[in-house]
Amino acid sequence: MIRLDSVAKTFADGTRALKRLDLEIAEGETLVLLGPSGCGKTTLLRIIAGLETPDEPGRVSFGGEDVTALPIERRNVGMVFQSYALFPNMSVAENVGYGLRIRGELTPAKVEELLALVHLEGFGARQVDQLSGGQRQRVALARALAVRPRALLLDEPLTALDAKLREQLRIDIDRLLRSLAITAVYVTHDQSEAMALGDRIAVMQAGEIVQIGTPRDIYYQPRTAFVADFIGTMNRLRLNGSDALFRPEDTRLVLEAQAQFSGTIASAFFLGDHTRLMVDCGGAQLVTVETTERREFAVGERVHLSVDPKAILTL
Amino acid sequence: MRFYLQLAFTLLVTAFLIVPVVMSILAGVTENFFIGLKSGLTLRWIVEVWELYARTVYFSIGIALACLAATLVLGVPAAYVLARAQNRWTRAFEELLVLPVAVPGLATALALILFYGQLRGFRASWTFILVGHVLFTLPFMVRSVLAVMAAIDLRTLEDAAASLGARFAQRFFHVVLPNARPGIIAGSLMVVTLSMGEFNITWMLHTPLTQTLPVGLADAYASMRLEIGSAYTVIFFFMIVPLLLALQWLGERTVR
Repeated sequence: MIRLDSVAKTFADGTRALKRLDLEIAEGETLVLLGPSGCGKTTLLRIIAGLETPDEPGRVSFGGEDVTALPIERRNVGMVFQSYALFPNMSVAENVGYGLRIRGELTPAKVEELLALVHLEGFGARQVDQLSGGQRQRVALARALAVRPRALLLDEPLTALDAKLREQLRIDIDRLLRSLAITAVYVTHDQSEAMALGDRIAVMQAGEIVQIGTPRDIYYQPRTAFVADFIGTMNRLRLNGSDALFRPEDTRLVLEAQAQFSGTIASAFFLGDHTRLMVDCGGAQLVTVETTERREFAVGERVHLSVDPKAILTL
Repeated sequence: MRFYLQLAFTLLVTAFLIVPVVMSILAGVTENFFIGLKSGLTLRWIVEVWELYARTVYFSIGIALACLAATLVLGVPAAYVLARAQNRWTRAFEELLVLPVAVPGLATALALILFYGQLRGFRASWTFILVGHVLFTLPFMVRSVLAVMAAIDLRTLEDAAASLGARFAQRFFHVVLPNARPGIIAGSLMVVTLSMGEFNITWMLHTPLTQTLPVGLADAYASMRLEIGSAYTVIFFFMIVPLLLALQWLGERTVR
């Protein structure tokens, strides 16, 4: 279990990267730190890793042991970086075995086992520059897992990859995190990654955790407008005298008699499995509607809409 | 037509540069240069130079190697610090480091003599020459290593190594040094080449007992017959050309 008590971070130049926060990450849990760039998520990860020290009197503890004063090399954490950070002067096997070599526990069998874990059997002798981005990140994962870390810390591990590889590697990471039941902290700015991988998501904004909860909580019960907008698409419209927030998938096309509100189509995008409509309902923003109706929609056409009252949020 | 014009021009320029070198080499192996080639070719001038000046050759090699050792010990850690801590002070330091290259060697040497001249033992010893050479060559080592270190994301590589349990010394020797190797090799060749050929500073700093090859060369040109000076140049070529070729070869390899 990882515990942060009153952790904050002010950099030497006076920038307040992280405001005081407390956080508990359970054994075997995957916590995703989600937020836009500059929200403090990477700083928080680096504090957990031991690459930054929190301002006094902040405390970091792993399983009850206070590790605040321990530098990263004595915390036994595994790290995965956006840029892979593989050692260019070492082969794949030497990279994977580096942590074991430092500990004097290096055996070829262990390295081969780790390569198998990330489906890279037989790649040991290759040089790093002979691998694709996805393979490199899998080597980095095996290298981080080699030392049986108390926590695996991932800093935007998929950001440098193209969309298809990203999806594949996300599935691989998910499988590894589940099967090894390792405590993990995963930093990303991508909400779909966060939803897919997180047991819990901590949404961060301007150095603060604004909401923490399961992906469902965050998606269905966003506590602030920022969270609502950051996770998925959220419509915003004045209904019956108050600001109503609702998801595109909860908005249905209905007959005029059943309509809660109506508008004209400003644009329509046919996406195959559904059509996305941007509807001008007289509010400040266009209302996004997703429909599986197979007919063609014309710009300027008048449509009537209804939202399940249970799916409407007012903040 | 245009091709032949270009070819002729290129050959002309090449000849302009090469002919004096060839003449110099010929002068070094000709019995009597004023009579010309018909006086016959000989190696006796080269043998004579070796008898007179072998000491300066060994001294130059010794100084170059000592200079290399000093610039490695001082320059590689300096480049590492500059690469890791990019701030106002390190940038100012980088600028300062180039000063000995920009300032005329004679001025640097004069400053050294004014400041350390009273220390007799130091003034007369080979280490005085070494100090001048290190001052002049250190920027080249630092720049060369720094360029390679700046091109790799050293900070993240070190973070990764640290997360795997590597202490500072282990990170430095396992990760930093091996990945900076191309810069260290290029810098080393540069330092040795520059130290071997350095004249301005050395000429001011030398004593009759601490003569380097180029200083000996000037001495030979000034006081010996032309054939001996030229034979001396031939020896210098044989020492410096392989170094220059190695430098060129390394440069090409790094670009690719």
